[in-house]
Amino acid sequence: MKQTTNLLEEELLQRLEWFIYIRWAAIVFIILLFLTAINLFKVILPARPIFLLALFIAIYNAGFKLYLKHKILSAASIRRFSIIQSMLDIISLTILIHFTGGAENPFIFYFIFHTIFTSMLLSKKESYIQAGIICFLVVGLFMLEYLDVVPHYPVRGFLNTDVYKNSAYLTAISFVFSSTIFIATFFTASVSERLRLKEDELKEAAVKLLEKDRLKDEYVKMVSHDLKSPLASIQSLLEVILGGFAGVADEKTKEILQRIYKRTEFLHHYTKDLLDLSRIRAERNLNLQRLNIKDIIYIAAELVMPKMGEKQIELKVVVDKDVSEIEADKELIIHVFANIIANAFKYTPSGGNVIIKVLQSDGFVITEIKDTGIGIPAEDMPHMFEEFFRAGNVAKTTKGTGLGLSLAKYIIERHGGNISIESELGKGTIFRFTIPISARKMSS
Amino acid sequence: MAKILIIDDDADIVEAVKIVLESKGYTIITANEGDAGYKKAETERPDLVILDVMMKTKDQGFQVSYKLKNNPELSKIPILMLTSVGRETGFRFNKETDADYLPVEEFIEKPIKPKDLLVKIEKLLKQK
Repeated sequence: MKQTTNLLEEELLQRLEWFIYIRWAAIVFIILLFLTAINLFKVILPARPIFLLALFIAIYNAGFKLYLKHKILSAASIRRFSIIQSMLDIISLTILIHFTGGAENPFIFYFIFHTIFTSMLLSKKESYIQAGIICFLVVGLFMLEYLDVVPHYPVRGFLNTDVYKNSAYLTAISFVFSSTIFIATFFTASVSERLRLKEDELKEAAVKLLEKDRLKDEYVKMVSHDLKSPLASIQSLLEVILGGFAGVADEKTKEILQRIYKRTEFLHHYTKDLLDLSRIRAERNLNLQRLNIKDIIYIAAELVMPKMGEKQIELKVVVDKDVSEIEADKELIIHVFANIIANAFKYTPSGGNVIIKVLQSDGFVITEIKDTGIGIPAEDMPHMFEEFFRAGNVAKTTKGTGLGLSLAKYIIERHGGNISIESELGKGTIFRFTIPISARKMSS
Repeated sequence: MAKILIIDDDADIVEAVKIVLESKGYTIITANEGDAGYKKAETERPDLVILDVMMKTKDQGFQVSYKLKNNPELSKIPILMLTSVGRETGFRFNKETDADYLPVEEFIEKPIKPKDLLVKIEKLLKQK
């Protein structure tokens, strides 16, 4: 999986890419504006410095593009990178303003866009420093031109009065410009800071939730283990009595003990399922190995058969000859097969049959387990894979934990496959699930 | 008749196994913990050891089995391991794949089914 930086950094990276696009647009915009101004409005502008500047912007923009493409950036370098970009943009825009009329150029207010965009990315402090630098550069430019330290490039044909020498105008425009920049910074920075705080809270909450979930799994694991041991002892002792090893019990006592045994057996399965569920969910890695699906089916069927008692059900296994070995977690895949086969047997009356068909398609092994059992009511179908859910037609009559299928689904999905059910009440049920030939390929 | 050592910290399991085996005439000695069990194996020289996994520690049974098999004088004693913990400890109990890791001859799942227990014990004693 791709290592994700935090939300904010990802957004920063995305914005940096944006800025690169915006900058290309700005270069085109500068050239078009220049051509329009000189051709349509007959304004006189110095062509060479403006084109050189456009070229300069194009060069550093291309540099940024390459840098972003070839370097995996750390959080700190993303930050540094965005500051450098922002500074270069501010300087370029100031130079452009200088060559296109200085104080006479209404485009000085484009600095506001810049301020808003970058304040979203920078910290509050950085945003204010940036606002200060912008005001310093722009007002400084006005002053330098006013004092004739640098030449003034008038926009002849646009504004014919030399406002750059008008101190009252310069004071007013400097004040309006600076205050606008700082107010824009204030609003953007406070909104983005609030967002950042919210994001931190969310992140913290997510970490806490994950930890709670892990604790829950640990807890369930511990409790079910602690329940399972004494149950095994109770059952072992009951086996001793029922087997007649502790002397002969009368029929009534035997019958009662058998009832007790059945109840403890249910508890035993229940705790075992809970334990499996919490253990498998807590497990981070699949223990992948090459498996022959036919072998897996036989192992699973052998696990299930002894529990079926006297029921007469025919089991047929048809594995297509094209089915190759899969790479999967043996224990878990056996678990899935055993679970679904056990279900098929459990809910199919004596005399019925269970057919397992396996074929391969598009890198997946597709298994279909079809029974001639009691089926699932339509209204229960959407809930069949939910933990602890049991279908209405079996909840009262057959013992079960409602954990088997949810675990099967979990295992199949962990391997990158999927599972579905088709069923007709009274006719039977088909479970279909896919397992990728290699779960390794899926997870990478 | 064969002498069997049961090592398990669960007194009820020990009792259940003991009743079943005594009914068939086996001589039973017991230990409720791994180290004591190993010492009893050294002094009593049983014909077979029934060994639990989780006792003082999660895998004390494994440690005892290694110690028994590494002692040339005790290494011939077959071990029947009691497992209710296979899945939750993450240890796998497949005889074919785990033989290198677990030097035990046979496994039996808890709860113990007397018939199953007797069949496995007879088989192990015969192989000896």
